[in-house]
Amino acid sequence: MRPFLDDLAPAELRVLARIRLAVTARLVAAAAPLDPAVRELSARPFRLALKVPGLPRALVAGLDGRVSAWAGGEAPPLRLPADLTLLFPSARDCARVLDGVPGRVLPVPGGLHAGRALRFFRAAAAAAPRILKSPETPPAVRAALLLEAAVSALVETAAADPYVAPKLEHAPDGLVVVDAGEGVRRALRKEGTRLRLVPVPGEDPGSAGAEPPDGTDPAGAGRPGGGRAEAARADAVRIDAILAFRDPGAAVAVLSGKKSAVTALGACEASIRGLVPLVQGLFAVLDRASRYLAVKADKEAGHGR
Amino acid sequence: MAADRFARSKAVFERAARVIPGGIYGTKSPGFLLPGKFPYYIESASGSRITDADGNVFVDYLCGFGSQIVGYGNPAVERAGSERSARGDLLNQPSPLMADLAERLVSRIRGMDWTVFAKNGTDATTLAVSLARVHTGKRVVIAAEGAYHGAANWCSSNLFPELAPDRADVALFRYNDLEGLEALFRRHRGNVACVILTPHHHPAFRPQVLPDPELYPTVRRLCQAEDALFVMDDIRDGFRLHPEGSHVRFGAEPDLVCVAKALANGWPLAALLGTGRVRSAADSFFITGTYWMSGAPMAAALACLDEMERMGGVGRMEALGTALREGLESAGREAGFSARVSGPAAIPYLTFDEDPDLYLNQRFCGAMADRGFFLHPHHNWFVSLAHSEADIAATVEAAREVFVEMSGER
Repeated sequence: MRPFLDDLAPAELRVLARIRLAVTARLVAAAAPLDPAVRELSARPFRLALKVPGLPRALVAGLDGRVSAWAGGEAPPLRLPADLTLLFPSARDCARVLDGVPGRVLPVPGGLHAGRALRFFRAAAAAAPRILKSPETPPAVRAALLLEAAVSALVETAAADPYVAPKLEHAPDGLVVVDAGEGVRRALRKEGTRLRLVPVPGEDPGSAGAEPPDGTDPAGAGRPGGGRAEAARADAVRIDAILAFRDPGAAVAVLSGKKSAVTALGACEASIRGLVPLVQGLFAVLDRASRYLAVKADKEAGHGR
Repeated sequence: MAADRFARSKAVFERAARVIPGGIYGTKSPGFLLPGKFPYYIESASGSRITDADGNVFVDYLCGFGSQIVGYGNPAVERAGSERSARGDLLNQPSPLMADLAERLVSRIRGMDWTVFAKNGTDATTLAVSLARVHTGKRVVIAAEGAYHGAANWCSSNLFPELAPDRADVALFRYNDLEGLEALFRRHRGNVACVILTPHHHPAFRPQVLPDPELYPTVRRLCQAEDALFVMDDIRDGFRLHPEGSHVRFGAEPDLVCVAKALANGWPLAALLGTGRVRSAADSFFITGTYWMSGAPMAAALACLDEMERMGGVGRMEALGTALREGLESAGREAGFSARVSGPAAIPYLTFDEDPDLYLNQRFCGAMADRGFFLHPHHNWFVSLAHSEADIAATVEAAREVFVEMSGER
């Protein structure tokens, strides 16, 4: 894959836009409770959509003081119109704007809380990279954010990029838990050439706070169809493989691309238990997703990436 | 804190990872084993034992991925190879030994009339497929899902779209699924160049499978009807299942046979053997490689063939492997595990019935490694003629301890 946006084929641009939509939505949701100003802005309800014509939209919703995200065609629990849709006229615009460089984006109001949704998005989108870069941020928090971004990118890359289909088809199906240490865990189910986020078996996604009445996952950050009932069912679910990092710092090194997964395995900073080829299949997708996320919007250096 | 028993392995790996993609790549990558439980680098080996970079000694059941059949550093083999090497290994022309070895192989491997030499198994299988295509004038290669025929693009797990054209004419069926095989022949009627199979099915990460009694007769019938060739990839099994080729053990009648690994006890040598029917294709095909006719591995191979017979051959490996299988299964049963050893006795692999994801397998092999036994958790094992009855007994005894330990964790 070529390293600059202008050199990507139209199909690759659309994959990149889809990844950026999902990663942004999930990162702003995950970052919301970590920044006081953003937390304040998410105290009252709003619904924000990120949209590129022809691509599945991403949705960020604040409800009962919690922020949740859905992307890649996941259906939100309540089909209310968004208060605000940030409409990117093209995949290229989406990739540019969400990479932090100028591009076209049209704010389309649709509900009473459009202003609130916009304020939230501006603040959260600025907070997420700041939290990730800050030396004050504990490794576990950084690992949680990076893991959120990584699993989102994995799901969208698998769904949209035919390049990874043969690798995924070759890998066995099953459920993988990624454990970044200190309780930071996410689970993915691989079926055929698709990946989806699922609750971590045995974990109660409601433990982080009150459960909304509609049964959605209150921990937010894109656990589609979450909730206590599903968590209970998940207890009986077999985990086919576990990718465990020695500690959040080791997870950060791999998830931020500073160290390859195979090198981390050899250095015993990560381990795979269970169905190794299933995790190897994910590595192939992660490698591809990382290439997308490394695409630069401008050929001239200096936009800060 | 206890000292890290693989400290040097890890230190070397960290250095290597800076200048070598993956640090160690392919089947020898630490990720294919259990990092922290197995060494990454081996310093020396002798007989059935390997000594790693940290000085840990293991009774080895991987045998250099099957290449060691008469023991690491077998004196007769090493002497033959070294003497030839001292007089010149890679020369402008082959040494006369090439004809000696060719005659020896052709007279030994049943049904074969000619042979050519190469270095790796991949060379032999890829050449076999090419010859089958040239001989038949057809393109399609039929193989079994999960089978390993080497690291070339037509058969490897490098499933990148850019390489898809290399795999375009390779059709896969589920091993032993005779109806599926027949269906593939129907679908590709008039286009099948060959079927390529390993004598028994030995996929990584899964139990091994012996051929259905009807598999080889069916292959033969379908190939004859299609005028396609049958290629036996005997690289991993070769010389452990039958002295005249593994196809003899299973009653198969291949047109081409690929051997490597055990042929020269680890000296780099592969061979493709064929029937007279395919000879003209081989005569007309440009076959070469800088190192393919080097003399030292051929001298080693001749000595290795002698040593195999002197040390008891297939019968002894079968007996040792049977003792290992029976001992492991019995020890597992006593501790309440349904541990099963699949595959031929000399090429065993242990898995647990209740453990499709291999957690128990990894636990077992990791604990055995702690005790100094190198049993790969994800790849079949090998018994060699250098293993002793005492090695087998010690392995079973250690396994008994491990099973009891694992039983306590339930």
